[in-house]
Amino acid sequence: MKLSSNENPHGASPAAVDAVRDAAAEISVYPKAAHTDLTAKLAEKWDLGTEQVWVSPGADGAIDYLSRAMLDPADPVLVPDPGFSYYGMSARYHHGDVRRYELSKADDFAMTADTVLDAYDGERIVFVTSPHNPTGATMARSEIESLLSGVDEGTLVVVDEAYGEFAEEPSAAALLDDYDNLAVLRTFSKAYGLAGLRIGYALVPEAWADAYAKVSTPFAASEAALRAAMAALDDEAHVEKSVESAAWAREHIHEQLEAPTFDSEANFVLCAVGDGAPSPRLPSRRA
Amino acid sequence: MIVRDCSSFGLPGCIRISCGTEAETRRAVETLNDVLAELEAAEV
Repeated sequence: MKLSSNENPHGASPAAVDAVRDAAAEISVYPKAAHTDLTAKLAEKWDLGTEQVWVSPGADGAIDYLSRAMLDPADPVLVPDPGFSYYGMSARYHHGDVRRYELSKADDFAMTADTVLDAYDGERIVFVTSPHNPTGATMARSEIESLLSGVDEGTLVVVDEAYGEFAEEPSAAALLDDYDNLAVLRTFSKAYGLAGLRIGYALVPEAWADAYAKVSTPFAASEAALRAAMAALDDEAHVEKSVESAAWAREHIHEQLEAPTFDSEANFVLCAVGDGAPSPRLPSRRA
Repeated sequence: MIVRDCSSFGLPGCIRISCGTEAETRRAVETLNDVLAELEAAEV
């Protein structure tokens, strides 16, 4: 039993599986129409222009596209610690530097604008993960707004919502109408159960219309992945089931596990189990 | 049963448990509770 990668325990939507089978007949052809179709479908879902949707091979691919678009050599990025390691890896692959802002265990890993801004020093990209991996904490949308207002011109705030479907906190995507220094990352790997196909996207400001053509890898998202993503979007019941099932499992772990747990709005729970070594004995008290 | 050791995230002493199906999650919690109880017993 593998509960280490936050995959969907219910698999993909049966409609997405059918779409992959149907795609088999067309795999000798470069994926073009399906890319246009998924982009249009996502633009409609988020009420954005099609040029604001950057389809990518997983959300990791979108992180690379943003690094390509933003980073000159030695440009720094600011990432959460603890946090998802690929933000820093992608920055380094693009010859950028990595700085960190700390999330405090004693404070239940709370994420506010000040948590980030206290460490912020003009970095080119600031990453926020909400719900956060691996803590499960979210940043309130009002705090994201304060962060967007608090950074310098020339800094992009990237809000990674890979686990967004599982959270009650609304997406930051609605802020794209008002802020041109925001990008939102979403993926089909978690709630949609398509981790093996590598398909995700970034939602970017309207002003970035031309950038995708400059930074995207041609045909990076496969025909099968594009078609499966479209079918998965149409199967809302499967997403709902996945979200409800995760909510039940979180509660069960919080209530039944005999170790401290942290509140989570994702499809996983962080638990403090100790390091497996004998706990240090307290010095004996003198009477 | 595999869960995620969070040392690589900078959180030694923590694990991340993915939400499984109801049956998987129940079994994971039982298994972990057994391991935690054994560890505690070994320390006494």
